Amino acid sequence: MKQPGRPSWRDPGLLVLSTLVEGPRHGYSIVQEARKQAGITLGPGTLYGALARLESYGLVESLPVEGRRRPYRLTDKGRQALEAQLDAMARFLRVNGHMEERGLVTPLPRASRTA
Amino acid sequence: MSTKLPRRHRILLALYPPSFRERYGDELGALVEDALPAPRVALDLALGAARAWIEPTFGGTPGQRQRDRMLATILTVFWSWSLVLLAFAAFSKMVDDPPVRGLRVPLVHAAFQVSSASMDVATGLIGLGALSYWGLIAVTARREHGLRNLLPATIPIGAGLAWLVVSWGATWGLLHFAVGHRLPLLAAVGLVVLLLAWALASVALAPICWVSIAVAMRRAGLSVRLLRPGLIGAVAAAVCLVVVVVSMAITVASLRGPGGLAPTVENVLLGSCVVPFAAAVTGVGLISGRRGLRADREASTAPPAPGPVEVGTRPPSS
Repeated sequence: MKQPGRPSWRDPGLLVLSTLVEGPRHGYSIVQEARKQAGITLGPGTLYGALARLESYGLVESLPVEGRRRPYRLTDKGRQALEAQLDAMARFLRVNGHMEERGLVTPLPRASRTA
Repeated sequence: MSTKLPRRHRILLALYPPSFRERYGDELGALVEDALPAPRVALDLALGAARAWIEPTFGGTPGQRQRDRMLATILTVFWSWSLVLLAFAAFSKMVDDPPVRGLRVPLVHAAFQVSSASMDVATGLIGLGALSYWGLIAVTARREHGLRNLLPATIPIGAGLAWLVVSWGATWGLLHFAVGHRLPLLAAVGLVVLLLAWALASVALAPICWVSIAVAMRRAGLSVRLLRPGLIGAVAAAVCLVVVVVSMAITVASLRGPGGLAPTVENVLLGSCVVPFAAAVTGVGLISGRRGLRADREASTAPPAPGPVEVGTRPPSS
């Protein structure tokens, strides 16, 4: 269920948060880092929509503008939200692994899982 | 915004809500310039603009966010009201022009009267708010920003009204001429095309006026103190719209069967579309009203944060 102030798994905001873990980045740098981390190219509209939501939730904050670029950094609240969501993902993967071991679910063929 | 951007990207960036453009427009433009030219950039920008309108987010200081949220609520309820007014006009035409026999039943009549009265109250609230804010913007425009704030709200609406009067008169004259004379085929086709163009242009006026009012109110930079009465009025108007929609639904449901609405295509279409449409736009207004009130309440209980100087408040002289 969607919780305010906590990006859902399919929200690009989660990816944006993870790109900011190592330090502040501006838009173009976030796009490059997201491509490096997840192989996903964030479109400009998607990225700034996500940044606007994250900023309104207080999960990221903007730094003084540099030319036409403005760097963003993770806030403490943003770091906690990211950790909570990554924990939830890890739990999900563990539960899924147990279910596979007990034969409760059938593993998908490798090619489909990575598609 | 940079002129290096292709024209289609500039147009797409202009489609974002004013608050979003003000806060992120430059950065977004810079990123579009830096991004590799890909066809999906245009699609991504278009989808991003649609989402920014549907699910608005507000950046900046808490004070700015509170003000932007309140303004968005006032404007959303205004848009909801104008669409419900359209639906209500179709509903009134359906049941009261001429009055259907079933409308004489006291309960149905009462429901119809309640919907009319609620629509009147909502219209009164919106009208009062519109006049007050127009006056306020006019005063602040004279005092602080010249005519820049007032023009977006005045020119399109004035031009729109002039267009409606002139084109309605011209169409009316042409139709009268056409009825009295046997027109050649080409002239008749031309007249139909002219009528369609008039109808389309008239429909297009509504969004132009909505956007121009939004731009004018945003430029005026009204303070939270000045926006609060508007927010309360907008929420009251949204509640009236709920009453309108419920009583419309009761009236339409009661008028089914003998003595009620004739089962013409027009009535069936109106009955099945008008009330759901009005309910949907009222729902949007109510949701926005709830968000606006919540933002105002949360900001009022939060510790004060430094914000920009707002219209209606003066910085302390140092």
